[in-house]
Amino acid sequence: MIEKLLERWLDKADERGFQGPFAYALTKQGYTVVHISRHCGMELGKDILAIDKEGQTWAYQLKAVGGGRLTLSKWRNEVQGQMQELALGKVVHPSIRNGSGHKSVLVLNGNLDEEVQRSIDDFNRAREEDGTNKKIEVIVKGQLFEMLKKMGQEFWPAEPADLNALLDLHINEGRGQFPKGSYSNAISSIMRSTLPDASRPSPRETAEQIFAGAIMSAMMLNGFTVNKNYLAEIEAWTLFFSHVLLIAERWNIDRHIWEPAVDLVSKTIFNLLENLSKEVEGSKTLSVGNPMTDFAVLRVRITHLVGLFSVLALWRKKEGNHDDDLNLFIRDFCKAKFQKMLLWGEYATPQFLSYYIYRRTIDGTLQNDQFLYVLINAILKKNLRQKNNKDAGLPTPYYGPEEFLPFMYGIGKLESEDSLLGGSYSLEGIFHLYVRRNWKNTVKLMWPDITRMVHYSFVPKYMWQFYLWRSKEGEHISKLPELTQQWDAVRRIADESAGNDIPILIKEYPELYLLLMMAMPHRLSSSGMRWVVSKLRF
Amino acid sequence: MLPDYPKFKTLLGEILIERMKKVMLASQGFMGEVPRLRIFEGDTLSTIREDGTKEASKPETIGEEISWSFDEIENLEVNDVIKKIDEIAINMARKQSEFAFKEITEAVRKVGNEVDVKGEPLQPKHFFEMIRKIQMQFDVSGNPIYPSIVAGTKAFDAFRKMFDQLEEDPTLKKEYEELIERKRKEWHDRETSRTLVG
Repeated sequence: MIEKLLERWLDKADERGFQGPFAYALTKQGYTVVHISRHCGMELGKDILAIDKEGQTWAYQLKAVGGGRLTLSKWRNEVQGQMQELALGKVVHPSIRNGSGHKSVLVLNGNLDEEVQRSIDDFNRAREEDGTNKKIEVIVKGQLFEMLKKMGQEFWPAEPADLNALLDLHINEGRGQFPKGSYSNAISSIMRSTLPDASRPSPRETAEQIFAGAIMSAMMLNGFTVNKNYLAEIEAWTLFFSHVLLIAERWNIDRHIWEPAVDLVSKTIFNLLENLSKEVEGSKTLSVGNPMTDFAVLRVRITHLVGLFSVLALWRKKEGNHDDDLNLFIRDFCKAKFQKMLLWGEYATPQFLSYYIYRRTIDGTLQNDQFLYVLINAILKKNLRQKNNKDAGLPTPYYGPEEFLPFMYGIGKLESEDSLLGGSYSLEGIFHLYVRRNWKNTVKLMWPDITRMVHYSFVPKYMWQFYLWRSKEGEHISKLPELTQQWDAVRRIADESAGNDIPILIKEYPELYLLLMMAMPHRLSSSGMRWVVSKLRF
Repeated sequence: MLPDYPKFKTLLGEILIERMKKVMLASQGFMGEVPRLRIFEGDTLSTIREDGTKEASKPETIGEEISWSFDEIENLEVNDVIKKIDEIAINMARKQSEFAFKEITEAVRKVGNEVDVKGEPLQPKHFFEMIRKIQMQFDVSGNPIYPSIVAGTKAFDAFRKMFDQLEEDPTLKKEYEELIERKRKEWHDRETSRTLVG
């Protein structure tokens, strides 16, 4: 059944849809993928660049033909020029040795019309005759399907419940929020070494699970990819990344088995972030759909965008992209929009945290400290249990916007009868960041209220459970701060940045850590905040 | 399969659950007023107090069963279902309260905050001892926020009698006022100790 589904999905996928699975298939065959396209105007002609085990460079151009045939007119009008340019031109990329030569491949989710085949044959014969041998190779649907079929087939869902979960996501229209809980359940049933009672996988089993997870994720994301729902795609691939790291760290898997997949998913997420920023750059408004209803979510959307773009800017900085137009756009966007950010719940805390980290790289003024101060006071104002506080309180990070907004606007109920006053999951961490800035007198003034709050946290029983959407094992801690403390002692805690409650591997990917915290805000801890702010200090 | 009407049944199920929640809350009395927080994951609940001591407990599953015979099922009316739902809600509320009080009692015992009247009838001296042992809250203007007293019918009558006695006897009344004043001072000291020093 899954095979049929895979075939159907492949027929309907656009280039962006099957690019990821094809890149994973290359990785499975031992290729190192050095570039994957964002599918924007600038990158015509080479969607994937990869180097095989012998050091040969391969350049792939992907074309979606809806499972049908590439017609002569489409070939002539859209593809031929790109392919000839790809075959005859040079491939320039930092990871590819200059003048090393490359092979060019056209990849289709369909077949070639006979006339197109002849045209390619003619081109290739001419290259043989002129001695350059710069030919065009073609991978057609049947070959592509065979490649994808071998992607960890033994781990594909077989139980009806698992199949149902996959199908549910596969047929999701893909316009709304990504159902992260459902996806996590589905991906755990595929990447089985993440399950509580799993046993140590062999290297082969590990690789197969990762490939199965990748291809099934692409299928589950179908509707979201078609609709260019970049946030959903970013969240899904971030959760996939988290599951790969879980297996790697839990079972101490050799790096060469999982790292290519992590590199690939990082590139995918990076591209998606750039696509999202480009979409916003080209939009006249940040509003979506009917303004009569959209007004209620606009600031929630802006808050998330500022958080995501902040991570992108930090990431681009690390990649060496300093002063290009996109960086300038992100900087201007964040500067213009941050005042519209809305702390509607603790779910949004990682979005604020990301902006704070980015802001420090573009603004050297004391306003960065003021930003933290405002954030602390906002949480206290909303959540302190006191007589004159008429607020319902900020929801815990376990409540996403779709769950909380109806309650916030008084048109719906929370699933449980939570009292949101009196405590916070994120106050302590933000407070520590402020203490680091050494505003001793202000900190002393806010201290009484800090001690009036219960500081919540969740510590999974085993470190690897950090990567799970929900962990059945672990300790939910409610901490009442000691009333009198020494400034030096508080300062010492605030300065600590080892991130002792964060797993080892995620620390290699601080930008992805921020994205993971945005996808799973309930995993953000005080220690994590202190670590990431120290780590991303430029 | 037999004809079914899942959409309507889901809606009805949601309404019945909502009713159950309401009845539970109403029958919990004092416990229903206690703020609650849904815990989404984990298997242990811990509290770290201001003095650094830690208390950990495991969540307990509380459940109730409904059973109907096939004959009963075929003759069920809406009122039968509501009656059963209410019955379950009341039992669940009772179990929840019992669990909470069991936890509170254990915690109180552990720190030596229990007051044993040693078989004597409840007297103001016992009540004063209780007040002495607890941390009392006051509002920003210094007005006491009196603690709730949870008692059975007999004990409730005893408390009422004891309060009448307290009201009528000027010496006891004075003693009580002095005690509240001491508690106010404790609260004030506690509030002023919320400081960062150095």
